[in-house]
Amino acid sequence: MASTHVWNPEDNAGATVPVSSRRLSQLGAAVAFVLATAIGIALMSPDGTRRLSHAWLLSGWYAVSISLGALFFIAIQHLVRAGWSVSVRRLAEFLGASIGWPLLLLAPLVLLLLAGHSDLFPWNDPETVQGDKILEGKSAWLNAPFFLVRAVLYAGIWVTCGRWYLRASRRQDETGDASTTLMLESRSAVALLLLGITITFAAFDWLMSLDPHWFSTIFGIYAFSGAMVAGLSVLAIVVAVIVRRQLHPAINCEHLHDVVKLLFGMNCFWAYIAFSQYLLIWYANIPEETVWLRHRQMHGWDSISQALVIGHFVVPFLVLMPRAAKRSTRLVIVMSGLLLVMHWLDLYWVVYPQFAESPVFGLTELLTAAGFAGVLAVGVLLQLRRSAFIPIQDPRLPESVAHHVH
Amino acid sequence: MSSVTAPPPSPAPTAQADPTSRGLVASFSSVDAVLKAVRLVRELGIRRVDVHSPHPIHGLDDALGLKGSPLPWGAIAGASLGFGGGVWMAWWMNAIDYPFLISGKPLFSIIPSLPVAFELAILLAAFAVVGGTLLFGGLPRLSNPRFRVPAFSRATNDRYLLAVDADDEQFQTGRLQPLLRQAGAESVDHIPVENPTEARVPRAIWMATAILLVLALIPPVLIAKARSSTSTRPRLSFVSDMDHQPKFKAQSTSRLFADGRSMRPQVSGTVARGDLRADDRYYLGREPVSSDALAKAPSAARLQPSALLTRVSDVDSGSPSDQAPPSQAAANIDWVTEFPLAVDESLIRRGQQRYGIFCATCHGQGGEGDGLVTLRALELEQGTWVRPTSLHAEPIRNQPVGQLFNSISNGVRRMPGYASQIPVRDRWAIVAYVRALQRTRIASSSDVPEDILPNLREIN
Repeated sequence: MASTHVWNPEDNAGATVPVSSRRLSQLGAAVAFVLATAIGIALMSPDGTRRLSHAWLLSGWYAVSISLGALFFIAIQHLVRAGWSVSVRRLAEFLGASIGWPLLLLAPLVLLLLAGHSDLFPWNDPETVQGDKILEGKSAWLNAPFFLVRAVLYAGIWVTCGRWYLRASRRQDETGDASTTLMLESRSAVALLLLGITITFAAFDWLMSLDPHWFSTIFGIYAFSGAMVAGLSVLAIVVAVIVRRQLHPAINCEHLHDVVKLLFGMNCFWAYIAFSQYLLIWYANIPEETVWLRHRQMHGWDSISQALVIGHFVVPFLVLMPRAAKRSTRLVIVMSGLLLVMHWLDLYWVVYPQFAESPVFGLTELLTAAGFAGVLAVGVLLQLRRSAFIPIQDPRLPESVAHHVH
Repeated sequence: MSSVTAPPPSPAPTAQADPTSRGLVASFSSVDAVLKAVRLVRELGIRRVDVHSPHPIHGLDDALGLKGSPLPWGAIAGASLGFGGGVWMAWWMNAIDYPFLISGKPLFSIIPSLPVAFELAILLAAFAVVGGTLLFGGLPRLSNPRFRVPAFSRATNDRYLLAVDADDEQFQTGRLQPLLRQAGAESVDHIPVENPTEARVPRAIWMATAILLVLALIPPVLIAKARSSTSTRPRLSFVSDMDHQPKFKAQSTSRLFADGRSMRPQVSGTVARGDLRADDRYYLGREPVSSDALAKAPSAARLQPSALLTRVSDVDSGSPSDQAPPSQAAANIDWVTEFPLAVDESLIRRGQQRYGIFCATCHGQGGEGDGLVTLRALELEQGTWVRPTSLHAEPIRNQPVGQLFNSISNGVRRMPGYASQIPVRDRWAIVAYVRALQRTRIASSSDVPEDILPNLREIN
């Protein structure tokens, strides 16, 4: 139930969460160990590097998409001048500002590309491209140097965006200047536009070009919807834990309810987009499009496809529909956890069939996923100990604290 | 209407209802005051309380003790009905009522049904919610006595009004009025008893409805007149590109194609879906033709191999003469001697029924070649009529089943082919029945089951 706390700025609301440096370095060391183990396993097993590069890309995009989802959330909240979300916005800002870490870890993949490796992207192999009219036609876009330029551009925009939001918000903590909010609101339109364009082309570059012959114009929105689900799932889990333990008077069940409403809506949006992509390809039934889905309907990938339909959409849709479910911290944690697993499975379903005949899962996938999630966690914790996790001087904070879902 | 600025002298608080009052409306100037008043009133055990406010008030639902609305259940029922109905509609229309094959897709698949199911789910959920809102809200309601209270006009502006219904068991004017005043009410007014004439639907609305109904009758009347009368004027074409479509009709000429035909012949080497008839024994009544045999076949058949596969009669009727005996070619064909399908009683019964419909008119019920049409033709002494051979004649009896099947399919002498009227399985059923019919003439009493034998003797 909603706590009846009356929030008072004089409370210790602006305190930072103490995260000990020792714990942080322990976590950092654990992450480094996990990723190093994954690399070690790959180097020792035959064809392990090929598998590792796919697992690395999958986990990297997974972590990046969580941050991107958070960035979209922040930009949308500013753009619509939302009052309710102010008290949970800082949590999303932490996530968004940490996007640089997983991006940094993805950099080796681009370097390998420049070195001429084509394990991941077949279009980087001149012999494959030679004589293939489609790939020759696409080579003006799909070539290693231009890929690098674009990757740097996307990463630059995302990192700048994430750091900018957090820095401006923190500055307001000290100045209490309401004009900061107005500035963020007006520039969020530009930010949202940039984010929307970059995630679209990044998804084309990093995920769709794994099969350079295949194309789907809806793929960018597909990646966006998945990122929103991932970002909001993490946010929902964090908010649910705060509400459950009553960690902060400014965050209560009403905020959880609205975050989960957004999550519910975005998950429906994901299903809508995923189905739209499938329906159009199914209907048109042209070989150059169906080949991608066909492989994902055989050799065991069919089970993954069905698991996505049920686990990513049907179950969360039915379970999270009632109002009471969206306000139950326990159910929200379970369902958001499921959605995070399903988002990983969704990306697995996109990336892995490109090199694996049938689904494979082992230490390589587990360790890289854990490693990248850990990297993101370290990034968030580093930010968490530097400032309050509530934008204490935001002019709309009182509105957010008094928020009540009708 | 009795505006109470000074409370009327009320005797001892009694539960007696004031016959001129339907309840009380108290006006408050702040949210806190009205929330406090609601709690006070509810503490008295009064349940029929309502608040009219210009904006939503946090915590009011809890204060009023409102339970969750049943509307979501209506919404999910509507959505489920729409979703199921959409899938059912897509299935029934395209797979059952009017099976229509579209570019090789399955007649029914869940995938293309989802958009229509989704839209219908939304539509019916919306209907359920709107309908439920009207139903639970007691709408449409044209008049409410609370509107007669002057203070009520500010309920949409800057005042919060608390209304207590006199129907409540705990309602006591004498106790409530001072309480509401203490709680900070600016005014407490009686809700006047509804004047029945005021509650009535105004005459103007009745009139307007009646006029609209009459006007609505005009189009159907005009349509009925147009349908039952003639006109010299050409038909109105509202959607001319639907009426006059730039398309080729069957049997028409085309300037688009070099051969001038609008109906396109089948692409050579292709077989239409469902038309592959690879089993010669079943579809042609003959043993499969090897490629060697095809090479030896008459040149006409070689030029058009499909002729050999589908129209054996073209090959065997070397001369079109009516009286010509079955040609040498037909005799050489390797007809099947065994039925290429399971023969059981139900098949023979089916054959009997089909024989009665298609064959008996000429061949006669007994197969003697004495059907009604034959008898009539002979009576008219029609020279062109050829009397059907008796099915019991030795040569016919000795024909393999495949040849009988071929005769039904493609005709023999003057008999036309029945392939277009009788499905393949039914033709075999007729052959089976004809075989049974032939047995009746050459059978001995030992062929008859013992338990039926006495009956037969009785009939004889």
